[in-house]
Amino acid sequence: MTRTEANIVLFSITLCWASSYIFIKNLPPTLSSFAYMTLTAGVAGIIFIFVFFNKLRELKGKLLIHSGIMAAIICVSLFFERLGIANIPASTASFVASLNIVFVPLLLLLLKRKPTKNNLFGIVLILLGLIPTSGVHLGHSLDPGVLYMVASCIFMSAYIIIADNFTKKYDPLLLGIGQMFFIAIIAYVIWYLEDPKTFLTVTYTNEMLANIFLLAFFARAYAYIMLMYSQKYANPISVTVIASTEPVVTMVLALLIPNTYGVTESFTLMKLIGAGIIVAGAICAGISFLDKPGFLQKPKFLENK
Amino acid sequence: MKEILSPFKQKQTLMQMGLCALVFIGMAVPFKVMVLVEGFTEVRPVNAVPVVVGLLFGPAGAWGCAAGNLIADCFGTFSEASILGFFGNFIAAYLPFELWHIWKMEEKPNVKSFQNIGLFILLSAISALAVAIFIACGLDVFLQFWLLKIFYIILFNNLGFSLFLALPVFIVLTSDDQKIEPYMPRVNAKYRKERKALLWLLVASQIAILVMLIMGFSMSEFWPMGIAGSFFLLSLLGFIVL
Repeated sequence: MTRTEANIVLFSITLCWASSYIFIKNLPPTLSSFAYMTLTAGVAGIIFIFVFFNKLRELKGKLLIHSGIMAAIICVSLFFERLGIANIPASTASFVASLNIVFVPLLLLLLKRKPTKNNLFGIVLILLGLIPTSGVHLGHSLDPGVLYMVASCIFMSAYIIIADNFTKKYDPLLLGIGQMFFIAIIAYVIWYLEDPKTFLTVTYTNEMLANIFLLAFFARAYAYIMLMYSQKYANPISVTVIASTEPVVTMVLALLIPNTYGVTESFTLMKLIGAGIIVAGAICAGISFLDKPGFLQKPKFLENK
Repeated sequence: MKEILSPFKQKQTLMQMGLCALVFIGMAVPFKVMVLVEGFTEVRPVNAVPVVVGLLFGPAGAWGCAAGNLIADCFGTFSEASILGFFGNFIAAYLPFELWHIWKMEEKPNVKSFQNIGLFILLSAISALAVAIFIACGLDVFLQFWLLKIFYIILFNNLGFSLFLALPVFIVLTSDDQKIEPYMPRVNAKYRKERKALLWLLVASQIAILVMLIMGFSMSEFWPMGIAGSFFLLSLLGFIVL
């Protein structure tokens, strides 16, 4: 897989996650995050059992442990995210959630992996773009909610780096499958602790089940398998940079499919400028004109793995 | 013609057909709830399947999609229009396969260069337009049911899912981790010039029909569009016969 191919796959995942809001909006508001996670990951797991039945016997030993670790990190990140969202405005939560773009390079520095000049320039641009896009204001007090969101973000960044490491050692498909099983189990345990009646508390309608299936298919089964494959070939910063374009993709989708994102979605010039800066940042981070000054004179398109 | 019927002669290609049909049914049926035009069409992520399996398995993939669509229609939308759906989905898979091998004779389908990515987008667009014209105008001519909305829904369903879902899936399936060997045509070297001519005829007739559709005409009521439609069908048949 070339780097361009990996980037296309990553962008398709961003598109999946951005469009998943269409379906999440149709779920009952009373459905807790862990119920949602259990149901979607559970259905995705069932899909995997049917589709990759022959592969399941290879899911053992270290691979199983590593996929369990990845699932646990995702669940911890979600746990903190939930605490954070409950305590701070949505705009602040959205902004802090996008700070992966800062934490991933910082964590990589700890591992003595330096980002390129272009990465750094692109990251600064993306951060600048995120401010008007998310609607966050300077002067918001630093309450515990923000700290929870930061914790969630750090776990998510750790997940990206760990996934980068694991996917280069193990079969990405099996890692994705194992992860989904563990997410379903861990989320169910937390859901049980939250509300022991678990499945009995959910009001099942055809619409709700259809939306759960769609989310399980795209936001879980498709997205996680594709993420594992693309992480094998892309570096963690590329993954974060492409994921940071999610607000822009959401904005474009909301324009293409009006009313889908709810009546609260409004477009201002500031948001559009912010989106433009994010895209410029993503492009800057993805090319190398600062690191290789001759890059623009000799464009090199075909980069092999 | 031999190429199209070849999958029925081997066990392996029959298996591929069955697999494609199963994948198609599995992806088509759950989305039947997302109806766009009652009794006719819905949001169809399954439209990402034909271009991928067409490029990877050739005619076997095309037959699989056609059969898969017919069976999926039995879950609530089966009607006379299902016959058009059968051929439409066959075209959706077979046309990308044909077009790829007209442009890139010896090269196995892949998107490892910008040129090939561009080609994938182009052949997805041509086949999406072909399917939209075939089904929407087919409904108009053969079943006296005309709704411009159906044309646009089919076009964007096919094109959108081909680009945003089929392309990444195709990338993964053609990566080094997978050992899928794309099917290469056996008789493609013959009639290369004729196939190129058919391609231009197909594209020209598609553009003509598209312009007339945008201008508000329908095939059953506007004879120049009928003529363009004949050339369109002729070029499609040409790909099958040659």
